[in-house]
Amino acid sequence: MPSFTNYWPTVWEDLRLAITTQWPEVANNFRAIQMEKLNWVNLLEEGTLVVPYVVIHIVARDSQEWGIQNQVWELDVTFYYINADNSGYAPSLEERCKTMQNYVLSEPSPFSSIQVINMLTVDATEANEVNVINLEQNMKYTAGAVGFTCIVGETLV
Amino acid sequence: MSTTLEPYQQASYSDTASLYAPTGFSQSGTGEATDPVFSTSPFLAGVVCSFHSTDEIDLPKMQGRTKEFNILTADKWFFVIDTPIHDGYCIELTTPGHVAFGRFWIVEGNPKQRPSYGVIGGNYQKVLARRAPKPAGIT
Repeated sequence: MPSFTNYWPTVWEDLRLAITTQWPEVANNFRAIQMEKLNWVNLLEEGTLVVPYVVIHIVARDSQEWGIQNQVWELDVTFYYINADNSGYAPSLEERCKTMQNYVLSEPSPFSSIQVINMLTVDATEANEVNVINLEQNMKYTAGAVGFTCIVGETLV
Repeated sequence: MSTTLEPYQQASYSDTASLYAPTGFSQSGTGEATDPVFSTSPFLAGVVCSFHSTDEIDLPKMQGRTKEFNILTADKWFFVIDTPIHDGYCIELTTPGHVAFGRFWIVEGNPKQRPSYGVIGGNYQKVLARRAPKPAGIT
């Protein structure tokens, strides 16, 4: 049985590092599964959570073999940057998204565990998933989404 | 403003509220969505009303668990018919001793109104409202 290097925790460390360095105004970032267990409006009302905050959503795809000795997993990553409409924060959502886009695509890659293979979206319109919910529920918040596809792999020797 | 209560309302209209009206909205250079702007102080305070909170049913959404907002889950406020309350107004509960004292709600839609026709009942308007963090601008 070959031994494997466990890259998975460092994938999350890479993603969270991107947020803390490129969006320093963000106090909290969460995996989607955590935020889906927390009532965000109640947290905002109590002051436990402040805007802007970020939710990291990952869709994990099937693994693939890249050559004989390599196993690769493909991940669709989306950062949702959620801000209040009354925040008074001057930079636009598109500007904040562009900052992250530049970081994700920069050379040499800032990531240690993942390789970006495709930039998917920069979307601060009403179509991204968070804004769809905000509009349906008439919430006074707007989100920008930055999405990309990356791979994480292991050599099986 | 008259706040004359019908006899049947005397007992149940035991709450008070402060009302804030949106004064307009701002538009940024990039056209981003902005909240309505509220005045710093209420245009009416000590308004007699009846507040009915409802159960909170949350569902998982991408930005976090979110309270469903519909006719069954919306909080309901009853005011005397001539109280100036409209869509988008902000309500602050000011009933002394109430567990939600000092909390804020945003009115969703114009009120359902039932005037008094000189018989028992009526003389009220009902608004649905969403509890919200303290709106910007209100001190």
